[in-house]
Amino acid sequence: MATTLTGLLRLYYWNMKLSVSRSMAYRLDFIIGVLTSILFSGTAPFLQYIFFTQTRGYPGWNLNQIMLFQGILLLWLGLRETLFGNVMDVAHQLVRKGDFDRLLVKPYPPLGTLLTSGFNLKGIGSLISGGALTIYAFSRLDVMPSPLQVLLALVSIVCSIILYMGVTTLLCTMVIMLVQVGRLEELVDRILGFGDYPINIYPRFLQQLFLTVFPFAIWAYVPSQALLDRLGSDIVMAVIGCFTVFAISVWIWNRSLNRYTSAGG
Amino acid sequence: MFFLKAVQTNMKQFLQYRNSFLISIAIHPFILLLNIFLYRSIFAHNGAEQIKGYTLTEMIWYTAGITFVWIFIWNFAERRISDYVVTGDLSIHLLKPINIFWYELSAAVALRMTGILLEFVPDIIVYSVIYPPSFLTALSLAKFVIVCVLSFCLFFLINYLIGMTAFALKSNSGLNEFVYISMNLLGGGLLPLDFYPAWLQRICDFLPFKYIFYYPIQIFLNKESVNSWNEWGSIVLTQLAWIAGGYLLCHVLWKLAIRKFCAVGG
Repeated sequence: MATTLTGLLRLYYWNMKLSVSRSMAYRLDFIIGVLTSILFSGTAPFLQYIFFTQTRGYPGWNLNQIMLFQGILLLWLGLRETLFGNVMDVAHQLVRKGDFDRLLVKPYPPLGTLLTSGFNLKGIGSLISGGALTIYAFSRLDVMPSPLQVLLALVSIVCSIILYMGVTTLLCTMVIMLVQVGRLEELVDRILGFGDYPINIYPRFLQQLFLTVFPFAIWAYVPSQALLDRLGSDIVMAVIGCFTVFAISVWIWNRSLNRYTSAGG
Repeated sequence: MFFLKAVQTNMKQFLQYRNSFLISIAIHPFILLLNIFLYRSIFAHNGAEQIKGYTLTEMIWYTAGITFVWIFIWNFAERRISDYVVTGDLSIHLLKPINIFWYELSAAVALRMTGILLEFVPDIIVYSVIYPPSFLTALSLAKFVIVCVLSFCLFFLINYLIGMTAFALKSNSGLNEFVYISMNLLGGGLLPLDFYPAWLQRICDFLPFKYIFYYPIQIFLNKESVNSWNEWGSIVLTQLAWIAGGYLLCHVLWKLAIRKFCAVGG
């Protein structure tokens, strides 16, 4: 198990190096892409700024707190894009060309090989703007989080990665089973988008849902609540939810892999 | 004649992917639901009937209007043209009896006709069931459709211009994203421009983007500021002026770019 994990990390490192080299092939486009990504990641905080300056915003948050939320959300989106941004493209290409079969005879588990092929340097734009916005929000809030609060925020980010790996695993399962999944990813993205707002805007049953069964609140709401020292016992259920989603996804993947009949060529 | 035949052929091709279009019926309501929750929360917290001249229903339907405009205008001419340039396939297209501009327009028209049929019509029915649009009349809907057709032309020209940058940049996805964001942000594709500070609204006045999103949605919402024939006519005329300018620019730049184009392979 430990050897496999070390091997997968090494594989990830090599894939990362290759991805950086590929990005550098069209340098100007890459630079424009990163600058655009920074600009693009500014749109959601801009909208929130408009909401909170032109109206009273929504309950439970003020402008500086919502900027912290947006900063963490951008950090998460950047991290997600950087770590796993290419996974789905790779899965599609492998399955359509019939190359997925090759993964089955490689020394590492096919799912691990897929998940380690996701590095995408373009996510760096969101990471930069997310980091800058988080620092700005903290300076405006004039609070210094305690080590425990930082630890809780880090735990929720690790759980976010686990949850996202679960979601990606489910999507990869659909790709290997159905080959052509059309706009299913867009549908999943729309559903995941519910985690891009503080859960206070949703009715109570949805708030509970996003903290337990579909714990999307883990990637921005929970860490920002932790850093603002407003986190209750919510994190426990959310953490359990993340690991459960991941475990179920891997189970479904393994079952589907047994029924895989190959495609493409 | 070639143009109509090309539209027909492309439409046959796109209809093969009808399931991909029909999945919008599942995707788009999520956008509406999210906005219902968001704006209900904002309006409740503000305790106001109207914010910046918009009622809750209008704000929710403004976001729905953004989706509808996208259905009318979306095309990927920029990607197709840059692919032709990068792969060298452009040389094959130059030999065809139909001009590449009209060929790409025919593909975009076919794509959107399929989209309107399989996305807009079901969407407006589903949306109306979820959140009835009390403001909507047959006339405002008809006016909206006409300005959206012009928005489509304007967006196609913008995409065509971006596509042509591949002659210089080869890969232009970064620039494409930049224009896409600017258009959303400065055209009212995220939020009504009335929410923006005055200086930003002033900048938006000098750009064509508000004629793609903001005004068509104002017409859709049947807002008083645009429901007279004079106002509507003035919006249509301005759209036509931008389209004429865009077409001229495309034509001139194409003449310049094609002189330097060279391809190998095939």
